[in-house]
Amino acid sequence: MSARKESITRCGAQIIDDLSTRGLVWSGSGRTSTPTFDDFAPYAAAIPLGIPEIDQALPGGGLQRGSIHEFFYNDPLQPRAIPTSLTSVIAHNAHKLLTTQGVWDEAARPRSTLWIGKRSWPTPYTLVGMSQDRASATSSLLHSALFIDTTNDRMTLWALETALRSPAAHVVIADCPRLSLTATKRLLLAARERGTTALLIRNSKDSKYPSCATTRWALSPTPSLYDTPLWELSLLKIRGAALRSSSWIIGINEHASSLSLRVFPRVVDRCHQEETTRDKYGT
Amino acid sequence: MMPLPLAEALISGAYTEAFDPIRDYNALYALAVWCRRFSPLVSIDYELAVAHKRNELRTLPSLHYGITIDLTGTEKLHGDIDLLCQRIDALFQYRARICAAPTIGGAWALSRYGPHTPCVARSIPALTEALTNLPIRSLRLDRLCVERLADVGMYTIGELLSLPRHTLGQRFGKPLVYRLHQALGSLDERLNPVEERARYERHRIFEPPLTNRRAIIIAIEALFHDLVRHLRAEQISAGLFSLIICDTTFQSICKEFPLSSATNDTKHLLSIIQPIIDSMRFCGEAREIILRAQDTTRSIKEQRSFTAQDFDASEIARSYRELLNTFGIRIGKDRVSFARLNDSYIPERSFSYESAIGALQEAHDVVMESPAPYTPRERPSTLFSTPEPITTIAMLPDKPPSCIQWRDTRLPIISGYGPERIAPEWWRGELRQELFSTRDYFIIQDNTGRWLWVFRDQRTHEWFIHGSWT
Repeated sequence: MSARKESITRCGAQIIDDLSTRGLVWSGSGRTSTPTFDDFAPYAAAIPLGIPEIDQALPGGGLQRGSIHEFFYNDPLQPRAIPTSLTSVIAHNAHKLLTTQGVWDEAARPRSTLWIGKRSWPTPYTLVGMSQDRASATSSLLHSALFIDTTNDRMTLWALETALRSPAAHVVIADCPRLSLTATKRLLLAARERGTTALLIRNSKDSKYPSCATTRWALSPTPSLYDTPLWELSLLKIRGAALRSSSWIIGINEHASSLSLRVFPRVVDRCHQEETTRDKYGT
Repeated sequence: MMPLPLAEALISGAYTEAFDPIRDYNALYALAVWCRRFSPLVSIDYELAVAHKRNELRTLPSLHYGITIDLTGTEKLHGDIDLLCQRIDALFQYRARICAAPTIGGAWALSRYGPHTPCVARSIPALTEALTNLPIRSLRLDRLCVERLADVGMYTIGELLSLPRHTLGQRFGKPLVYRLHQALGSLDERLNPVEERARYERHRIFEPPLTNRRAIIIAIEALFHDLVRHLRAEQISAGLFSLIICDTTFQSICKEFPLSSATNDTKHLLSIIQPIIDSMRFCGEAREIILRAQDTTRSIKEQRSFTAQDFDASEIARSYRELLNTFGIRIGKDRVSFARLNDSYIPERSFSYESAIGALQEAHDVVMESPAPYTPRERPSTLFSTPEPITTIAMLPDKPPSCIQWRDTRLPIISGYGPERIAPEWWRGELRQELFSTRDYFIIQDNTGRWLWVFRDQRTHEWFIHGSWT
């Protein structure tokens, strides 16, 4: 009896695992196995961040496609700064997903990545460094990236919605103005209709308002003793799932030839603290 | 024939323009179309048309830039030919050489080589008499034939006429005989009339003028449907639509819709154009509405496959073009762009954005990519559009600063790397113009963990911040 029950539970777990990999079932307990780049299911529904520790915490192994994700950058000196390194990495991973899926042939133009709002444009070096293999040079991210310069908020929202509804856009990265809950719901419906992913960068003061985004992230710079800049990446919310571990220190992976990120251990910098106390108190 | 500087020295203040034979050809063609007011059959020189087709306009002698008007049957309209020639002469402001003759060849010869202008030959004998003293070149023969005739001492047409005709063909070639007979009227010569280039436009005049805004919008949409239906019937796609609305004071509003790729899909066009029209402001009353389709190309109707899904390559390509069209018209052509990496290590010039609309997208696909010249650590991920000035405190020469003041905040620096010197590109001649001075770039990290890209200007010793790693 118990053996039969065990086998049913095992089958059930397998089925749920299978469905979770396809993104049809979300579970917040992190029981799913993380897909790597080599063994993607043909219609994988998540864009991995390329950082295993963070991907494991996300249901589906990454950012879900066909939905919107919000990013807040906390920096008092640069209030409208955009986390360009992180968004470039996500855009690169999404683009790689397209070219390895094999649904498109090389001659056709694959779906494009759009950057809306002049502030959100990264320097093009971050996009070029991503095409490592020559074979896919024709479909590199830089060539299929469209940059749109909008002048006011209404135009940005209109451009965002039009891009989300078009089958030709794959990932849309936008510098968003203030959005209400209904506006985010509308964008979510538009994204879900076509399977387009939106990465919205919002003002950090808006993080206290509710929204319909599937995940919400906050990024802020941290002092680093390494050669690379470090940021503290916190996961604020996953829609419809319980949140487990929520913040990591990430930085540019200096050993990779292209832009990629990895997790760094938290190191408390005591030598600088000592210096400041010495200056202050003279001991 | 002399070099341009010599000519400019001889005549001071002369106006010079580059030689552009295609522009001249187009202008002549337009002039020929204008000349259709005198007669329905107007043509340009056959040699000119052939040279244009073969792209040999640069080597064509300028004698061939001429217009031939066939006046057969227009006597009742114009009356006396003399008067007509004088009128045309006056219309061309006495700058053209004009001749009227019974044959095309004769008219060509007399107009180029005739003694005076305007010159009228009313009959074949008069023409023959007028042609007697003209050089043989005026028969439109090639140089070899003319030289051969000159070898035997024949320089004018009169001397040629005195020879027995039946021997001319054997001795000097058939073209000579043909041209001679054409000039004297024994052989027919064909004229290829110019045709006005097809214009696709719909034009409606309203009497009394429309004042209601809703009525104007309905009229525009009706014209639009009509025009697009006509385009589809002729299998033409247009890349540019222009809308002109004239009001009763003869002022007009012109609105252009440039598309990134020619299309004649009604639904798509309507979805782009309708919001623009709805938001247009009409002042006054609309007396006349003109809708034009320009930049036309042939489009072939293809049947979309039954099984075409949304993720098919052709569907994606089509919706990509439609997306570009929508953005281009609503936001503006210049605001939708691709990024290009340039061959320069000066940061502001190392990349540029060019408009996606009208750019050759195929060129992007073919270009092989070289790996990035900079690692992500060397160049910031966000570059400011203009460097911001900062003040540095406790700066050591040629070392990163230890404290900077930026946007009214004092930031102590905990680590810095550098300097990296970027000098002006001497091969572009900037050292003379002093547009760009040498910069020493440093990568610094402040106590909150921000990584900034600052530089010191070598000439003025001022510090600026140019980008940051966000």
